[in-house]
Amino acid sequence: MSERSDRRLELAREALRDHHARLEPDPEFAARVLARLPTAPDPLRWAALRLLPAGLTLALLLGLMVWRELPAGGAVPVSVDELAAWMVDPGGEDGP
Amino acid sequence: MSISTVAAARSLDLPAAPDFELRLVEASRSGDRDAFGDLVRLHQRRVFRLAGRFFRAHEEVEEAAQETFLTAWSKLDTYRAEAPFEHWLTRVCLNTCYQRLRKTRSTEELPEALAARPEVDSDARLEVERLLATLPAKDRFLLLMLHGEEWSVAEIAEKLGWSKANVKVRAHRARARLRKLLEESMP
Repeated sequence: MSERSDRRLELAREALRDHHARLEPDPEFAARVLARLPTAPDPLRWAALRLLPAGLTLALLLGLMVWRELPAGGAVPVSVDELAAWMVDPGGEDGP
Repeated sequence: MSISTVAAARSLDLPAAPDFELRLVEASRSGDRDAFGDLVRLHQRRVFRLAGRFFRAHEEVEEAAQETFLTAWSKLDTYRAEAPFEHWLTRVCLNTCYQRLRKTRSTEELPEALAARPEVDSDARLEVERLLATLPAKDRFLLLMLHGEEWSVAEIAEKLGWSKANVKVRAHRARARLRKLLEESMP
């Protein structure tokens, strides 16, 4: 029993040693790899994706600042000019 | 080193000069595909040979080798030039083969090598090969490195970046599972 078991183990080791495809790459192999390389991303798309989180964060912060600076009583800017003037000088006498 | 020297080194499977290879790596990092093509040509035989240890079908070896180089391209930034590029690429190749082995079912391939070796007890060998193919991928992976490549535990640990203790434990388990499988299947 033990002898047979050892023989099978030896066969398994042989099988593991012989387990090899023994293949060589053909001359076009490198070209096939290069053809599969990802193309460079479109710079505009790349920039947009990179800047999106920063842009959103900035917008959120500005929104928060505006909201906190809004005068009590519900008086809000009514035109773009007034809003711009108020943003430059939120505490001014002429605030909306 | 000129391109013709690279070509000669390629055909003889000789290592390229480290500084030249490093320049190719640097150029590849900055997106130079031609430089990466030269890196592929320098190492393709070695990668093919290693992938051929784990897979027998031509398509599988080709796919594993291609995936190795695609991964290398996307992770070139992680290569530190402290060790030869070849070592880093070997690790990428081994990890690629391991992941692919884990995805494939445990009972593929077999016996074409037997026909070429009439001296072996074909029936018994065939049976043993069938059993080997049923082992879990992680066991076959380790056993092929230990008995196929004849790497030591320390060599495997170094090539894979695993701890020696980890390799030792896995190797012990793989051998125990193989022995059990062979004993249980004995007629």
